Amino acid sequence: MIAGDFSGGFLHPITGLDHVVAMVAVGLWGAQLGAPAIWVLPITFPIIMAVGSFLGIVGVPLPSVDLAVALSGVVLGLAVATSARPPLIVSALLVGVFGLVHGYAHGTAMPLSGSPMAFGGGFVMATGLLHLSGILLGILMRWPTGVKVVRTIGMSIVLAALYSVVNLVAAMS
Amino acid sequence: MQSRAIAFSLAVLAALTAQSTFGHDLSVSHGPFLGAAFHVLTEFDHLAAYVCVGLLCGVVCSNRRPAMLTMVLILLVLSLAAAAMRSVAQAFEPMEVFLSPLSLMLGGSWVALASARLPWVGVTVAAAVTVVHSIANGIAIGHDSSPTLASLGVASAVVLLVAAGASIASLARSPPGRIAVRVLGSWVVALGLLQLGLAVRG
Repeated sequence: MIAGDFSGGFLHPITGLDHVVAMVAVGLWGAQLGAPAIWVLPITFPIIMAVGSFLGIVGVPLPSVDLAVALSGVVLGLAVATSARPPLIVSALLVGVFGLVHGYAHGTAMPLSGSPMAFGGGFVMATGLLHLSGILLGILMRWPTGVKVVRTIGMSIVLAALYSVVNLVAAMS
Repeated sequence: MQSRAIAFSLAVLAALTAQSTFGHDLSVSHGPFLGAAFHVLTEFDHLAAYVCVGLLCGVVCSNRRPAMLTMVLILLVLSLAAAAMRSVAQAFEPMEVFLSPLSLMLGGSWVALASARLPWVGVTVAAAVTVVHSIANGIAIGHDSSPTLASLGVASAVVLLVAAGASIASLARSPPGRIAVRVLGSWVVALGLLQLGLAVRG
């Protein structure tokens, strides 16, 4: 049972492996891309995430959200692992699409009793702090070895996300 | 001094967000002044709104202290007036459920821009957020036994939150701090969208 207050909302992204790896990957990728992506991505994500939450709260159906959330970690992890450098608009769109599905997952989990606004504030803040942890890990890129470490972290994110995907597919079949 | 103000503000906000479920219980047990103050401090939409107003003060005034103090004083008078005008508050009650999230989205967007250009637009946005949420507070305290004390409680809480936001906005003097302020603005927009979703759902 999820607590319908700030702590419940804060723990919701942090206790989901698929959420954690994707959020850290957003921060890491932003750090890899540098300015302006380093602030565009952490601003785009929570806003589009809230749009997704809005859709979840009002009950708009969205298919295969759990799978999309798990796949977001794979795609974002690959972006970090390969140091992908698409145009800013492409990276922002990609992050936005994944923000939408993550937000939808949080919105459908939002308890309507208790303090839903506090719950929402909790998962928005937790998401932002996970982004920040990714950005801080990106500081490692100041050193040549750090660049390789960051790409290895990206590959670890891919593997962790694939684990979630496999579990989901197994549960669905 | 500046870093201590920021640290104090963040500590107060962290404590308040952790207590966010207790607003109505505290208003019942702690009388009109403290009850009204706690209503503002522990209701997440009001908390976000007034911190956003503080952030706007800092961004719009480019962290120049005299300008910020003037702006905070004007907004404090506005908030007192809006909270005290209970007849106006009653008229706004049906629209408040949508005005509150829209004001959060507007205020948060301007903070996310983190631009000192068009300062009068920023001032107007800050005033709009203050008035909308102070009217909401006026609705909440309208049935209180001591509306004057309750209004003062609201004003005290507003000053605390706006000051916290303004001190955090002083981070924007450095490039990483500017990013942090922009991100905080996006969080306020996100909270507005969530509140709108809850309002639409009913």
